[in-house]
Amino acid sequence: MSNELHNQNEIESIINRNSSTVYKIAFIRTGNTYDAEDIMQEVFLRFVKRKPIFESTEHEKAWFIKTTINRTKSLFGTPWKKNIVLTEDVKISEQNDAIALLELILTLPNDISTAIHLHYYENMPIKDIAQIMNKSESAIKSLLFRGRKMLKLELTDTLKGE
Amino acid sequence: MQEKDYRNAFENLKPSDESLKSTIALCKDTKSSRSPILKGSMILLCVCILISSIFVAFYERENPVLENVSTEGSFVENGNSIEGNLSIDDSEKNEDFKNGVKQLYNTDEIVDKINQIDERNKKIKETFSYENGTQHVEGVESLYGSCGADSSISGNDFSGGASMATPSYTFAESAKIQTSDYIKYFGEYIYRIGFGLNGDDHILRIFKADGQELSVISKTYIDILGIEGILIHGNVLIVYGDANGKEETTCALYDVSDPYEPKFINKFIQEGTILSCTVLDGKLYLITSYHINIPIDIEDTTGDQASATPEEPVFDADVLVPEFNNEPIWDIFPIYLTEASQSIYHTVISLIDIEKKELVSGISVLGNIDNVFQTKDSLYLFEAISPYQFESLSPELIDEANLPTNESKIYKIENIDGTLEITAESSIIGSTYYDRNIKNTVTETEDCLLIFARALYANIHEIEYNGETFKHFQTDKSNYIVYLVDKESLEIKQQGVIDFGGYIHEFIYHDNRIFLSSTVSGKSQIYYFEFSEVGIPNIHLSYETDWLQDLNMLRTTGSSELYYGFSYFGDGYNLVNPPDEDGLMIHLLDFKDPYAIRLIDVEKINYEGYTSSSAYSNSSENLQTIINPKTHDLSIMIYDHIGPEFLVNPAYYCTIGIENDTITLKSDIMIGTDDIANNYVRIFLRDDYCYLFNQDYAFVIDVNTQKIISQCTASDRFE
Repeated sequence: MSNELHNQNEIESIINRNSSTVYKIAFIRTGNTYDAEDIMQEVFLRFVKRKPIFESTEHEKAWFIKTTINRTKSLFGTPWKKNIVLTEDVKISEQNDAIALLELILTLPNDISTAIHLHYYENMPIKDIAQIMNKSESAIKSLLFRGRKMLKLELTDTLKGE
Repeated sequence: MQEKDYRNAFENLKPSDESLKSTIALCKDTKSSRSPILKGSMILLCVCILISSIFVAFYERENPVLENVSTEGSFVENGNSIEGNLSIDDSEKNEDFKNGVKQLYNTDEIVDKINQIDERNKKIKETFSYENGTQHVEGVESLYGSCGADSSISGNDFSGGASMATPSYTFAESAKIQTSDYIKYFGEYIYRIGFGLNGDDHILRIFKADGQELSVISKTYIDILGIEGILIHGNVLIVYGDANGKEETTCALYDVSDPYEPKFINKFIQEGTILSCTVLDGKLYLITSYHINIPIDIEDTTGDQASATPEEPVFDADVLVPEFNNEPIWDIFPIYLTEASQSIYHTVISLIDIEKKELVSGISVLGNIDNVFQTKDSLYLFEAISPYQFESLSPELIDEANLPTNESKIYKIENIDGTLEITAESSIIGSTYYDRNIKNTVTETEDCLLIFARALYANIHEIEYNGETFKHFQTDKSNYIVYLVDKESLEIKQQGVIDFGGYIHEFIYHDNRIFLSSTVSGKSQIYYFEFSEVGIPNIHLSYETDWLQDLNMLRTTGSSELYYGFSYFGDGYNLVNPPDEDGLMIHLLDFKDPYAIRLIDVEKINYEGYTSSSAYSNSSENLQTIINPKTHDLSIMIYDHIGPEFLVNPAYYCTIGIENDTITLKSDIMIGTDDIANNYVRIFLRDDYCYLFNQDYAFVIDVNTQKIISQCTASDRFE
C-alpha cells in the first residue's frame, strides 16, 4: 500500500509556491547560483521524502525556510565548502544599483544577511525569524541592526570610493 | 538606501526554469523514504538510544551520584544504565557500542575521546578553580523602586523602570527577580550598552544621573559581539551575549565599584543560544539552549537512490554535548534525559556564584525546552511535546477515538544547598510557547503558577490517491487552557478551557484578579477569570467592542480600577505605499466592575510615518511606558519605522494624564535621530526627572513642565 500523501499536482504546486523563497535564501547564504540550485533541490527532495503535514501556508513557508537554512549549514560544514568564495559568480553591473546592492548583501555574514532578507524581503516578524533561526528575538534585532548598519556603511564607502 | 532598492535586488533572482523543472521531475519520481509514524518513531528512538548510549559511555565515573526524581525520565548517573538501554559496566556491549558508532559515523574520533576522558577530567578540575584575587566592595544592591516601575502587572509589563528589554524571548520575569536589559538604572548611575562606531564593537557607558544633570563618566569596550543584556549585582556588572556568531554564550563580569573606571574580572563561556540570564540571591543563572547537530540524513546513508544529498559533514562527537568554559558538560554537570525528546536540545543551566566568581552547580535537561519561568525559589522549564512534528499519515495507527494533542512537561529545578536539582515534574495539555501572539504565558500567584497553554487538536482528513483512501491529521482546531499549578508539587489545582477561537494578546494578574485581552473576528475582547476553591474557573466575557482595533496591551493607570489599553492604527509596515496616517490609540477603560468593563475615553495620537503592525503588541518593546507614582501620569516612548527612509527610525515621547475621566495629552515630542535600534529606546523616572534614551542621545525631561532640560550624547557617532 502506498503511503504517498502528496499527489503529483500537489507537489508541483508546493514547489512552485516556495521555490523562489527557497532559492533566494539559499543564494544569499551560499553566494552562488550553483549551490543555491543544489540546495533548492535537496530541500524539495527532503520535503517529498519526509511528507511534513503543514498546519497553514505560514507553517509551510517556515518549514521550507528553516530546512533551507539547515541545508546551507550542512553545506558549509563539509570541508570542501569552508573556504568558498561567496561572490564567485555574481555578475556585477556598475549601471545596476540593485545588483551592486545584491553583491553587497552577499558580503554580509550569513546570519545577518538571512535575518535582513527574512525581515525586509519576506516581511517575516522578528519572533518568527527567531524561531526559524533558533536565536533569541534580541539576537535577531541585533543582527538586523548590524546588517542595516553595515549596509549603510558599505554603501557610504562605495559612494566615497566612486 | 530605500526598501525598494533591496526588493529590486532580489526581484529577478529566481532559479532557472531548467533547474526548477528537473527538481519537480525528481520530486515526482521520489518515493517517501519512510513510512509515517512507525519509521519516524524508529529513527527518533534510534537517535535517542544513540545519544543515551553515548552519554553513558562518556560519563565520568567519579561524578557525584544524583537521585532519580521521576520514573518517567532519568538522570545519566555514574555510567549506569539509562532505561535499561546500555550499561557501561558491560565491556562487551560497550565495545559493540563503540564499534557501532564508529561504523555509523565512519570516524575514530569518538573512540579516541573515550580513551582520553581521564586526562580531560583532570583539566576540568583545574579550569574551575578560580583565584579570589579580585577585590569586591560590599554594597547594597539598588532596586527598581526609585524608577517608579509598575511592577504590579504580570510579566507582560515593559515599563521602563522595570528595565526589561526581553533579553530572553522565552522568559517571563517575576516581580522580584532582576532580569537583564541593555540599560540598567541603579542608585545614581545608569549603565548602558551601546554600539561603537563600526556597529560591531560594544561599549559600556556609565552615566551619572543626578537630577537634571546627566553625563557619561566612563566608557569601557566589551569584547562580546552580540550582547544580549547586562545585570548588576552589588559592584559587579554582568554582561552576556553571543560570541562572534558561534552558538555559544559568553558571560563577562566587571567590577564597577568605581563607576569611573570599571575593571574586567573574568568570563564564562557556555555553548548554546541564550534562553535566560538572571541574578537571584547573589547567584547568576545562565540558561542556554544547545542544538545537537546529529546528522539529519541518517536515513540517506541507507542508500536511498533518490537522494541528491551531498557528502555529509564529518561527524564530531563533541557536538553531542555543549561545553562550559571549553570543556564538555558531561564531565561536570548531570544530564537529565526527558521522556520524549522530539527535538534534540540541551537546556543547560549553570549556577555561578558572583562573589566567588566560580561555577557552583549546573544541570542539563535534554529535551525541547521552549519556555523558562523563574520565581525567587525555583526555575520552571516547559518542554513542548507535539505529536505533529513527525509524519502523521498512517491509517493503521490513527486512533480516531483518542486523537492526541500537544502537551508540555514542566520541570521544577531548585537550588538545594548549592546544587541544582529537578524536584518535581508534571504534564499539562498544550504548549506555553506555541502561540506567537502571546508573549508571557506564565506568571505566579501566591501558591501557584498561572499558566496559559494552547492546545492543538487534529481533525482527520481523507485523501484519495491512486484509487485508495488515506487519512491524515490537520491541526485546524485549537483551544487555550488556563491552569493553576501548585508551585511546590506542580499538581494541577484548577484548569479551564477558553474556547473562543481567537487569539490572546496578553493576560494581566493584578490584585488577585485575572484579565485576558484577545481578538476574535475583528472584535476586541477582555475576559475576566474567577478561580474557585474547587472545580474549573469561571470565565466571563467582560468587554467587547467591534470598533477598536486590536487591543494589544493593557496597562494600569496606577489604580486597579482604571486601565489604559493600547492599539495602533495605520497601514502597517509598508514603505512602498505610504499610508495617510499612522499612530497610537489609547483607550481608558473602567475595570471597577470586572464583569462589565466600560470604555471611558479614547485619545488618538497621530504621527507622520509608517507604523509597524507589531510595534504595539505586548511582545514588542517598541512601546515603553512608565507610570509616575506621584501624579499617575503615564509617559510613553515609542520607537517605530517613521519617515520615508528605510534606515530612519526616530522615537516619539508623550505623556498623558487623566482629568475628569478624560485622557489629557500633556507632552508630545519627537526625538529624532536616524537608525534607532529599539533595543536602545528606554525611559526611566526618578523623582521629578524623566530620562529618555535613544541610540545616540539621552535626554532629561522635567516631569512638571514636560520640557527637555538637558541632553547628552550616548553614542560615538556624535561625540
